[in-house]
Amino acid sequence: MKELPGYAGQVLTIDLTSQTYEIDKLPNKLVEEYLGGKGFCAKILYDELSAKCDPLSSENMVVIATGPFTGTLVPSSSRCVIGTKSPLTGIWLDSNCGGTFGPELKMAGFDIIKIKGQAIKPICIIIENDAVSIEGAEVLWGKDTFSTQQIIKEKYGQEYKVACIGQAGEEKNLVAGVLAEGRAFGRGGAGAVFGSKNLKAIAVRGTRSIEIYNTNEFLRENKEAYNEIAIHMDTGGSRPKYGTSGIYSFIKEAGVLPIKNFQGGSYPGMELVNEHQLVEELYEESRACFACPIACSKYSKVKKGKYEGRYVEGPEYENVWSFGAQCGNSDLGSIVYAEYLCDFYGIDAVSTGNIIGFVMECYEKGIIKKDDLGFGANFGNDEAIINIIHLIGKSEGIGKLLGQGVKRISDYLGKDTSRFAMHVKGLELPAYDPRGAFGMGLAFATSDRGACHLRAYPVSSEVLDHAGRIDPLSTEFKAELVKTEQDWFAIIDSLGLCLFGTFAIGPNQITDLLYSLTGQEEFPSASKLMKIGERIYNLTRLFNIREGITHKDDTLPLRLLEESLSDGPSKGVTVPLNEMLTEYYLIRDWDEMGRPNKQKLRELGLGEEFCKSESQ
Amino acid sequence: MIIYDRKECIGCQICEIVCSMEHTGRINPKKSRIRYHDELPQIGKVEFCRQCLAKACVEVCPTHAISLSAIGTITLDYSLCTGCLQCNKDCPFGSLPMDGEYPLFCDTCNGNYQCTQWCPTKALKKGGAES
Amino acid sequence: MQVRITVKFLAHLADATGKKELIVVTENNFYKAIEKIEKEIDFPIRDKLNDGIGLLINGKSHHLYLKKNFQLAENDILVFVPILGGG
Repeated sequence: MKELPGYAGQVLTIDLTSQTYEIDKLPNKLVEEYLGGKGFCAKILYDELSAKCDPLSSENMVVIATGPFTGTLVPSSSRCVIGTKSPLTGIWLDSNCGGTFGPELKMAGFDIIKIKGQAIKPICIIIENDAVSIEGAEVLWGKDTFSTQQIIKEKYGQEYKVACIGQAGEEKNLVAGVLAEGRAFGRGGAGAVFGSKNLKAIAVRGTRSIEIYNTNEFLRENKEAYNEIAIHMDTGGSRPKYGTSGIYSFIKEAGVLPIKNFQGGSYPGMELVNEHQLVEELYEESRACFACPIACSKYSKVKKGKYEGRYVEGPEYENVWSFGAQCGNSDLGSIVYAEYLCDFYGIDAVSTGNIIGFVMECYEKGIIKKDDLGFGANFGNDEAIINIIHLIGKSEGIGKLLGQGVKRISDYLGKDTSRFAMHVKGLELPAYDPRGAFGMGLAFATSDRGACHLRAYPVSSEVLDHAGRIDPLSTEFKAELVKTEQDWFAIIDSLGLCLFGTFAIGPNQITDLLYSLTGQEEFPSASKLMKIGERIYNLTRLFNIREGITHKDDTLPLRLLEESLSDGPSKGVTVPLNEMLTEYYLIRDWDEMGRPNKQKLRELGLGEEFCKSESQ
Repeated sequence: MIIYDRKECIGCQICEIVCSMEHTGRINPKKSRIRYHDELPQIGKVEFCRQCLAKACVEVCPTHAISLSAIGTITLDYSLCTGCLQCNKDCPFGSLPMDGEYPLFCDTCNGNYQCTQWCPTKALKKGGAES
Repeated sequence: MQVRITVKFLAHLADATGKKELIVVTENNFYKAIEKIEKEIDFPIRDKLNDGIGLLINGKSHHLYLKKNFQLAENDILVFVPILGGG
């Protein structure tokens, strides 16, 4: 029996500058204190990156980490995390995805890959168990993500799982992501970091086994977990049928769906877009990530109209919004094609749609003109959406600027556009309007990577779960809710689990599964795990403080703080952020500048880090 | 034997996980006797020994390593198998799962068919005489 | 007093009830309205309300919308939803 059942047990460190690599044992202490995935990334990047390093220089690192659950039988446990310093935001970034890449990496024997330095010409990393090679990738350079994956598989074998960048990452486009087997490490610009290192792709094949501490218990607990997922209304009902878009109408009815770059109002055909239309007109098959019984991913094909024949793995809820309501567009075919193109070029489909909505508002206000774009771009112009994606994907013309994200575009344009540049800390907002669910405002403002709905998801308690037992338009309970979720989600992202599975399986079940898998006495209870989550969240905060983040950055776009919607359930309100933020700092034991206090850091075993942050 | 309905398959590979756990006590899809082959972005299909009546593998095996057991499953005598994979070439269902060296045949998990018990969409079902 | 309300069923609740949207004329008392809706769609709602089925009235949770005054108004929109996790 291995020392650490459930883990692969090894760390692979690759230096692209010297083209060398080494394999080390996974340190027990890292496991005990940081669990896996996101936790591993946080500890390594905090310790090994120098403060204020240029994210696109050889100094930045890419850490790819799986968790103890990744690649095991635990339902929806396929996830893998990329951690790096984001070139889009200049702060902490962890981006995770499901699929098969993470499990394959673990079967190859690695919990962590650390990639340092910078290659002088295009390369790809080929891993087959302990055999690691860094190979020339000139033939892949300039290729889209689908071709890249295909060419690698044809050369090395179909069993290889590939994570790669497209043209956008090569051009160091700041919204570039890393695509892996139909899934995306989308947000925050990890693709640009790959590009800056001349790293086109990582291909991995593993034939090793994952050991289990107590197989019988593990099987029994999993059987229960699978059962809970099957009978749960969401994971066994709505999600397998509608995918992530099952919430679409609900979010819209509750006034939480942002419309036309968060201006509100309506657009032609908006009443037609809903989860039923997706099922009836688009979905053809359900696709699951590794070890997931839910299969929320859909293979969609457009059957009529000018986008007939276009297909995508999706469209996800986020993109039905980002290329739909955000752009005042109700043509489903164009939404499918837009998401496909984002995957093709390797760009984040959330940020990209947000950018297009921003461009459309600027166009309608006369700040961006037809001559700047080469075409008109009113809200609802589906062809403009497609054109802009091509420009961003290829970094052509104005696409070079647009691919730098809403914050930089707004800085460039000036003219008070920052009011409606919908980002926090440089990361574009996703598909929730915090004016309809105040908790989401606090979640966006305090998310460690900038505006993100996956660091805390209070809208679930405010709206989705039994139509809101707590008032979405009140500040009460929000600070506590956001803090608790951030700590718990840090655990989910460290375990390798997908958030969707956790709608049906709770903290105690997860703790039991973790024990029967790993046998680690360090993880005895959900409350002990929560401490690890809190440690991780405070460490990513320290990372951001080191990069210069203060309470002033824990904010929202002015539009959400000062402009209210003129209709719908949240008519007339703005987000009372400060009230929630003050309470949040108090609950977190952070001072009024948003810095964790000494006592809290000591309690979390981060006391030494306090001294470091003080001396800076 | 196992009956596979491709229309219901979601490509989750849970069959591979439980098969490897049943036969090796550990998780290793590459040792699974049932194997999913993806056809991104659409669903692919699984391959496994269907215990078919043709028994081409038994007949073509040059070292007589492959035989038919009393319960109708195919068994492999590892001491005789040279890994020539003639059985794989002649399999009427296209191909057999491999562990990297040797072919892998479904042994029904003593009639328990773990893959069918865990398959979340019932794309895999127990069929034939024992069902 | 009689009111005319719009009733919607979202996600797989639309499949379960066989209806996506309907107009109902009903007494304005909330519970009488629920009874009327149950009759029209032949599907039990009241027992499951807050235990599997949620309800928004004009976009607001019915707890918050109705408070202590259990009355509906003309043109109210009632949206019944199953428990959903997130997207």
